[in-house]
Amino acid sequence: MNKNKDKNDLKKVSNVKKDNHISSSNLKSNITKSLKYDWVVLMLIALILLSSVFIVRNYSGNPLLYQAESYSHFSAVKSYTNLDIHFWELNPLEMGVYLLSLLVNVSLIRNYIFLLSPLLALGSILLFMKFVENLKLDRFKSFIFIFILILTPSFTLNFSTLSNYSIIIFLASLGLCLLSLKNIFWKYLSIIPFCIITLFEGLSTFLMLGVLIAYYFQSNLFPIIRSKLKNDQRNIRKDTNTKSNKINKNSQIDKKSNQDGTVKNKNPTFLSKIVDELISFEVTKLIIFLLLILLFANKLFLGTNWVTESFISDLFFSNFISDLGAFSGISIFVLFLALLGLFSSWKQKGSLIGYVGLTISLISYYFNNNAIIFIGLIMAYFASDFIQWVIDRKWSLNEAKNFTLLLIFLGLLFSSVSYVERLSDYSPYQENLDTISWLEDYFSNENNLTENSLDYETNGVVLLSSPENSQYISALSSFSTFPDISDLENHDLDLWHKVNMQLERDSYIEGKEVFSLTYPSVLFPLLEEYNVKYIYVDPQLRVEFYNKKGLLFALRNERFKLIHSQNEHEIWEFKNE
Amino acid sequence: MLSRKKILLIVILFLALAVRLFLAFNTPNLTYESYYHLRHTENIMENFLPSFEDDLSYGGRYLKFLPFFHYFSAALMFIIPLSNEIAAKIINNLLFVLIGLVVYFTAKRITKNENAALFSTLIAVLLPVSYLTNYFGPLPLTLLLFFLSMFFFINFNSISKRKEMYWFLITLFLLFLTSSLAGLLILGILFYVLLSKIEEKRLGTGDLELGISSLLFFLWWEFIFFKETLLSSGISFIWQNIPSQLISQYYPEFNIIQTLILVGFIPFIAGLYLIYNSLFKERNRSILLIICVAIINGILAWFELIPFLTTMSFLGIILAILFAPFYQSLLEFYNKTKVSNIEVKAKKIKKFVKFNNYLNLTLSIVLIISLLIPAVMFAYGQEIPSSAEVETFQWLKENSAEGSVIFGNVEEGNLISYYSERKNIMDLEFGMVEDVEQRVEDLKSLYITNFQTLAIGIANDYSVDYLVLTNSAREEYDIDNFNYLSAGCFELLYNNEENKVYKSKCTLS
Repeated sequence: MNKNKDKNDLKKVSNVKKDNHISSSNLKSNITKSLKYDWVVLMLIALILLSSVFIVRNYSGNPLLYQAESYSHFSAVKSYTNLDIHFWELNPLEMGVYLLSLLVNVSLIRNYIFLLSPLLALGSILLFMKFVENLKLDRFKSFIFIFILILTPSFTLNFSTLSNYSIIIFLASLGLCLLSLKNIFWKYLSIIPFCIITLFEGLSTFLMLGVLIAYYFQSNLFPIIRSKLKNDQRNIRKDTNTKSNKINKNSQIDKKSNQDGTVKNKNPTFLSKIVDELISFEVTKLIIFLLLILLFANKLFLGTNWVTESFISDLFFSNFISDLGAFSGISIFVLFLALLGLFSSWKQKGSLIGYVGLTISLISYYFNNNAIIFIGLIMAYFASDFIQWVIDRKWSLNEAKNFTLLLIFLGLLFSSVSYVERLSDYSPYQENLDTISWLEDYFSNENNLTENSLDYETNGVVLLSSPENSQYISALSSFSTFPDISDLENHDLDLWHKVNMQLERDSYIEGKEVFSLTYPSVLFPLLEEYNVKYIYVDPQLRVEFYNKKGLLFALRNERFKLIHSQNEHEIWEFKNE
Repeated sequence: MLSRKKILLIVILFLALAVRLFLAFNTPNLTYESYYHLRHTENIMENFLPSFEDDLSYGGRYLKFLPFFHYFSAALMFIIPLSNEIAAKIINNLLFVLIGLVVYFTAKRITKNENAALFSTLIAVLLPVSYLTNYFGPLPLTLLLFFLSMFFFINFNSISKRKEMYWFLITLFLLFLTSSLAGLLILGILFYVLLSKIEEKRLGTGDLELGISSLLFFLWWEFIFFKETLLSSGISFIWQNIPSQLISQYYPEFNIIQTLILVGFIPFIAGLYLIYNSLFKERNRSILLIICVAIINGILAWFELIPFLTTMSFLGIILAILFAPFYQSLLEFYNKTKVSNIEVKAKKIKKFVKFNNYLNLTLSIVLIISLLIPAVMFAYGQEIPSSAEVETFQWLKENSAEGSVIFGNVEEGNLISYYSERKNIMDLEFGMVEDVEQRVEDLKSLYITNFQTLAIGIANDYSVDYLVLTNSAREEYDIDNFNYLSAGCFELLYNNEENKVYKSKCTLS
C-alpha cells in the first residue's frame, strides 16, 4: 500500500514538473506580451520612486536638494567665480551649472535643479531600452535588469541628488543608443557623450571601455564567426538535403543581420555590405581608441580623479549594504540574488565582462566608496540573471517557484521603500540652512556690513563644523570651511577629526584625569592657526562625537561663547586672545 | 501494544526528564539571562502582546526579539498550575528531552535500525552541553524546531511526499519566529546542494528549490522584522552588539578538551569517523546534509558568528544523530569478520550470547558513565544568583520609589527588572544600545574607583538612585566594598549576608 502511495506521489511530482515547464514558458511569454510598453512601466516605477523621495523630504520640511555632493558643485562654481580654481578644474556638470548661472540667478538654479537628476533617470531608461531594441537584445532580461537597477539604493540616491553619476549614466545610455543606430552620422555623434564621460572620472571611462569592447566583439566579431559556423553547417546539410532553396533563403536572412544585430538594407550589394561593416567597425574602434587616450590624458593634464570624490568616510563593510545602515550601498536582497546569479550564470560566455567589471569595481570601492554605483549596476545584472534562471528552470515544486518569485518582488520592494524613507533624514535639514543664514545675518550686523561687502569681509573667517556640513556651508554662505574646497585631497585630515584625534590621543596617553588639563594647550593653537571664528554644532555631530570627549567637552571653556541655540543647533564663537 | 523498543524509548525519555528536573529543583532560581525571557513571557500572559518598548532595561529602550518562544511558554504556563518560575524550569527541561525524540526519528529514518536510533536518543538526552537545567530561554525550542525541520527535510528528500514539504515549511516558519539561527539550517542545505553539485551527486526532489525559497524567505523575514536593528547596529547585529570587554565570555577560544567534555568523547570520535567515511567513501544524502549543517555550524563558530555554547549544542545533537549510522556500520563491519561466523556456530551449541547484546550493554554503560558525570557537573556549574541575592532585589521592590534607577552588575540587570521591577543601567541584552561600551566602562568604574567625584558623576549621568553590591559582584571585581563611600552621599539601607543596598544622595553641581 505504502509503496503504491509513494509511486503515486512520485508520479504527481513528475506531472507537476511537466505542468511547471508549460507554466514557466507561459509565464514568460505572458510577461513579454504584456511588456509591449516596458519602457513606460520602467519610467513610471522610476518616477514614482524618485518623486516619493522628494515628497517625503518636502513633507518632513527638509530642502529638496540634499547630500554633500549636490552642494559641492555649487561650491566649486563659487570657487571658480572667486578665482580660487581654474575653469578646467570644474567637471562638465559644474561647467553646466556655471554657464547656467550666467543666464539665471544662482538661488533660482539651486531651487529647481533637483529636477534635473530624475529627468536624467527617465532619459537614461528610455535611451537604454531603445539601445536594447536596436540590438534586439533579450527584452525580458533587460526589463528585469533595469527594474532591479531602479530599486537599487545607489540609483535612488544618485538620481535624486545632483550627482556626477546621474550625468555619467545618462551620457553612457545616450552614447550606446546613438552607436546602435543604423545611420552613420548618429554613430559618429556618439563620440561626444563618451568623450564627456572621460572628463568626470577614470573608473567610469574604464568600465565604459569594457562595455564598448564587449559591444565591439558582440556586434563585429561574434556575428562573423557565428555566420561562418552556420554557413559551414549549412554546406554540410546542402550535401545531404535536397531542399536547397529553403536553406539559401535562410542564409540570406542571416547574412542580412549585420554587426549590430540589426537587419540592414533589404538587398545589399556585396560591396555596400563590406563598406558598411568597415565603417561601423571603425566607429566603435575609434571610440575605444579615443577613450583610451583620454583616460590617460585627462589624468595627466586635468588631474581627473579615478573615482569621484566621496563625501563620506570610506569604510568597506559599513557602506556596502544599505539595509545595514549604509549611506548608499546595495540592497541585501540584490546582493544575495546577485550571488545566486553568479552561480547560475557561471557557464554563460557573456558574464565574463561582468566578472571583470565587478572585480575592478570592488577594488575601486575599497579605495573610494563612490564606486558602489558600479557594483550596484553589475549586481543588478547578475540578479536579473538569477531571476531569469528562476523563471526558465523546470521546478519540481510549483508552489516553491511562485513563492520564490513573490519573495524576490517583496524583498526588492520593501528594501527600496525602506531606503526612500531613510533619505528624508539625510542632511542638510531646514534647521541647518536656517542656522547658517542666521550666522550670516549675525556676522553682518556685528561688523556693520552690507550684503555686497559680506563676501569680501568673511573671506578667511572659518566656520568649523563636521565635514558633512562643510559642502553646504561653503555653497550657501560666505564663510570658509575646513576642508577648503580647493583642498579636497586632504579631506580625511579635516580639522574636526584632527582636533578630536589629538585630544583622544592625549587623553589616552596621559590618563582620563589629565584630559581636562591638557586640552587648551592642544586645541587653542590649532583653532587660531586655522583662523576658526565660529563652531557649528548640530545634533548629528553631537551624536558622533560624544559630549564628554574632545572639542564638545572643550566648549565648556570660557573662551567659547554660545551665540545661537535652537533645536539643538548651536553656534559657538571662539574668542582670540 | 507498544513494542519493547518503544517502551525503552519512553523509559529513556522519562528517566532523562526525571534527572533533569531533579538537578533543576536541587539548585535554587534560574540563570541570570532567564529572567529577561521570563519577564517578557509574563508580559505576554498579561497583555497578549510582546513588549518591544522596554521601560526597565537600560533605563528604557526599544528592543525587538522573536516572540514565538515567549508565546509558546506563556501558553504552557497558563496550563501548568504552578508558579511561573517552576513552570519555566519544567518547560525548558521538557523541551530539551523532546529533542531526544526528534533525534530518535531522524536516526531511525537514516538507518532504519531502532537500536541505533535508541543509542542516538540516549546520547541526545545525556548530552552535557544541554544540561542547562536552570535556563529559561529560546535555545531548547530553537534546537527542537531546528532538528524537527531538518527531519522533515530529510523525509521529503527521501520519500518525496508533499505533506513532508508542508511540515518542513511550517516548522521552518516557526523556527523563523523563534530564532535567527534558522539561517544555519538554510546555509547547511545550500552547502549540501553545492557539495552535491560539485561531486556530481544526484540531488533529492526539490532540494535546491526548497533551499533557495527558504533562503529568500529567511532574508525577507529578518529584514522585515529586524529592520530598525539592522539599520542602527549594521553588521554588528550578528554579534548582538556584545561589548568588547564581554565578548570573550560569549566566544571563548576553541578548546578541544572542553569540546570533548561538552559533546561527549565517544560521540565525537564516532562522528569524526562517520564524517570521514561519508565525505570520502559512502554516499548517503541524509548523512551528507547533516554533515553539511555541522560544517556550516563549525565555520560560523570559527568566525564567531554563533556563541560557543550554542555551537556546542548543535554539534552535540548532530553527533548524537550521526552515532546511529556509526553503530550500524559497526555492526556491518562485525558481520564481515570471522568472529561473526564463530558466533553463528556458537549459537548452535547455545553457549554464547549474541555479540549485539554485548555491544549494546557495553555501549550503554560507557555512554551513560561518560556523559552523565560531565552533564551533572555542567548543571551544577551554571551561573545562578544565590537566594540571598534574589531576596535583596525582592526587598528593593518594596522599599524603593517606583521609576527609580538601580545600579547593579551586568548579569544582575535582569534581576533588577524582574524582581525589583525597577530600571537598570545595563543588562545582558545589548542589542541596539548605542553607548554599550561606555556603559560597561562606567559600570566597572563605579565598582572599582577610589574617587567619589567620579562615582557621583557616573551615578548622576545614569540618574542612579540605589547601588547594589552583591557577593557575586564583590568576587568578580575583587573588592570588599565600594571604595568611595561616605555617610553624606551614600546611605546603607540594607545588608543581607553582605549583599548591600546603598542610596545615592549627592549630585555634582
